[in-house]
Amino acid sequence: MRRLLWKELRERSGWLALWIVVSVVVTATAGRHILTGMSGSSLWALAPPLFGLLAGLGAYGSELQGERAAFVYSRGVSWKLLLLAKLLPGLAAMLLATGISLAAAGLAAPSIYHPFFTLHDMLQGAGIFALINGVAFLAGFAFSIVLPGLTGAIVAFLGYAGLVAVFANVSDTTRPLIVILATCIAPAAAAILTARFGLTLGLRDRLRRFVLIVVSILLISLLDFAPPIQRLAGRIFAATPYTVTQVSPDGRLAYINANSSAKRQYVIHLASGKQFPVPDIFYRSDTTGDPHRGNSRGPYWINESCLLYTLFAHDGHDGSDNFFWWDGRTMRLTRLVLQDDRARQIEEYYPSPDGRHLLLRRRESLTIFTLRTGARQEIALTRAETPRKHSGSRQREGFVLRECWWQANDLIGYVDPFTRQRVLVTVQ
Amino acid sequence: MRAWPMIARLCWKEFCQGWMLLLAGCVIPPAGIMLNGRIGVGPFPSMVALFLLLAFTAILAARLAADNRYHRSFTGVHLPLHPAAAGWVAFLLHGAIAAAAGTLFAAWSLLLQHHRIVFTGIFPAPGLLFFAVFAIAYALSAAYTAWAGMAGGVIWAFTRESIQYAELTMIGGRMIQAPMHSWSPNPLLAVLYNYWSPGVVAIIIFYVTCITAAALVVLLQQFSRPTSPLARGLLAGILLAGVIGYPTWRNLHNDQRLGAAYATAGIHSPDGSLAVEYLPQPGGEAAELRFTDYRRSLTAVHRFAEVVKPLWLDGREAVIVAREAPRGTHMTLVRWEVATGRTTELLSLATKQDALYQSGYGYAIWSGDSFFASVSPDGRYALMSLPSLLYEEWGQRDIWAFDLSRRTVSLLLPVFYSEGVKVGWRGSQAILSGVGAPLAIAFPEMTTRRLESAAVKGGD
Repeated sequence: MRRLLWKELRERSGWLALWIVVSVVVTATAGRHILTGMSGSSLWALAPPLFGLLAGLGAYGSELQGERAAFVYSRGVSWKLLLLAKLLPGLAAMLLATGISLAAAGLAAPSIYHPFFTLHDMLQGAGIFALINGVAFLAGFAFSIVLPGLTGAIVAFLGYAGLVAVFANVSDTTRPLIVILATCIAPAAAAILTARFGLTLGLRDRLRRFVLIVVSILLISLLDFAPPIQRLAGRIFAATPYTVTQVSPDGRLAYINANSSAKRQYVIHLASGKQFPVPDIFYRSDTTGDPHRGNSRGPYWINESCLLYTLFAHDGHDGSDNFFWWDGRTMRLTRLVLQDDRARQIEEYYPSPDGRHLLLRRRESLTIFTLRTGARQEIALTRAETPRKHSGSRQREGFVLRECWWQANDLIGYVDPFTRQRVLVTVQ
Repeated sequence: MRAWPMIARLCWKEFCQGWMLLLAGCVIPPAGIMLNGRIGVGPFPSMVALFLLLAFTAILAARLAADNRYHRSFTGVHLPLHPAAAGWVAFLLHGAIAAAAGTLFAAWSLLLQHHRIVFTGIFPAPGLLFFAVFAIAYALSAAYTAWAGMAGGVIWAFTRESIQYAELTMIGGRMIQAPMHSWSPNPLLAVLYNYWSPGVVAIIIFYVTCITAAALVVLLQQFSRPTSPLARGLLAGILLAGVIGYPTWRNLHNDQRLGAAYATAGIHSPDGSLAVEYLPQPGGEAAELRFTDYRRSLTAVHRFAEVVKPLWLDGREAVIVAREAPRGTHMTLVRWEVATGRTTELLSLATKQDALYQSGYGYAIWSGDSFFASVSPDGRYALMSLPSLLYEEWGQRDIWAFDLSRRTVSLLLPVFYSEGVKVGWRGSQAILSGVGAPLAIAFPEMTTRRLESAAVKGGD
């Protein structure tokens, strides 16, 4: 065993050392997520696993060239010993990379962050770092057993990546975990079986068996639509409960979207604890009720007391703005229906200083909307039609209404986009 | 036999070997669209289709080169041609087939997704990309092994910048509308609108360089051993350039200091009566801000010599602005009194270099939902998210707390997930809400605690 280990170290020490060095350099300079429990994503985080993958990809390649595997077996070495001798250096490198990276990241981090690093986060980060690197190494290890040499292993891995991409596309995305598990288990099982039975075979025979095992497992995973498996998977991989909270700008009200047991949405008055269920329309994805036809925006607070939820059909038409607002004692719903194309509109709401009215600015129109009564007042821009006579988008862009404001509680102002004159309009 | 008929026969032979690539270029996008329509999942045809076709191109190139290398091609037996001429014809013709397949692929993808072909989107980038992949795979296979050619071709094609470009020009169906609605920092999107930014030109130059270098390797093959150190060194250089060349060039390049970013980076009061906006500048780091009080018909303009970003309004008379020297690693908060034009420095903090204005990206850190700057109603305290110093990248945010009355600033929450976070103020207490239980931050102590009440958490 010692001789086997020594042979492996001599053959692969370069890749293993490179893996450790890259891990340490990256975590010390670019992405120190190992210190924060691996919170946050970083493209740099892909670098150490990539080199772990490369280290794994070089594991069996040398045995597949010529008659080397047969020679090793002729020396009384069992397939298990060979497997272990190829795994152990990689796993040791993974542990070394994790430990040194953690220390290097801690030393290199700016001092203002030091008070925020906790032992729990660092242990969690190191654990996840080791897991990701280990999985990458094992993935490479599994594909090193198919085609000879490092490049052969890379080709096998890329081929499998393409296959998985197609497989993930044609399989139902409502069962992603089954697919992910299958795509992980398939090469691992194929690699172990090939290590046991196929190492001394010719290239074509080995490739055929490997592909057969992988494809069989992937196809079996498609059977998960069987109701019992589906139920079991649903129970094991139940959706994580989440809560979305949006506190109003003045901290008085909060919109809660709780998905813990059953989906519930309500607004809570934080001082009194009183809850107000949001209307049914907030659950819909468009005005037609068809989830595939429409789109929605929000809900979000447009001022201290008014929650806005916008619905429109997929083509942008048949839109409605739904306001759930606090009238001082309770929450009330008021709707503003807008038939024209919402998706392409530039639009923005300006609440009046007293919060009673809303001014809706759009590309070529202004609308005043009174929350209490639902009354709307369209402001006719006298020059708005003129720009239409010009051709070309650049000329039209110059006449977009951009400037409007509340002059007082019952008085709005805007700058005419064509004449550049100030206009004041009283709210009726 | 005369030369031209012989070359014509050779071309026909090579075409018979490579026509499947053209067919694949035509068939993969419609097949993907049909699959997508029937099953209704996934981004097909996108990365998968592109992966398949590029892998196919690389495999074809590698096998062709291996055949020539090991003299498995019988062209010289059937046609009285110099081996070098036969090699050149095979290289160029198959390269042309690969380029045509890529162009057809792009045309089909655009036609199927947009019902029309955007000629600026299919010419010349996709053809160049495919030719470059073909050339790299061919040269690698000639100098190393066929396996190396296949792997190297695919890996090179899928380096981040190359694939981003390919995706945008060929299958950017969902992204095509992006610049219509908002400013995007990605200069590559511009190619769809026939705007040749320096970044796009750089990529084209890069592809052409790679093709030329690979052709040089093929030429070297004719005069020296196929596995000569010179050829191998040259190829290693190309691969390295493919991975790090363009991103490095873009980071070094400093030509996009202005753009539509200025139009989107202004601020206004909730009732619209006060607004701060950028005035168009010809270029450089300087910025001119215009403050308008529409109620009183007042305007004030101030020219800042450095990169600035208006953060919030301080009453109706002043604006708080962030300022940063070019290549600076510190950001300074400045109070601009609009009536007098006087600016007062409030405080300064360490940030990433060019945190306000990243070269090549404009005001990149300010775009998106993960940035916020919020001030308390009395103007004494503020919260702001800034790119984390723990990461090389820009997406990770730290939240900083400002006590403007004492002119102090401190790091509050490092590496905080701030996507979609909203800030509410209850007196001197800030409430951060988004996913999960809200977080209350008490000023001036700057202590944080989770609001764990059952009602806020979602229970009864």
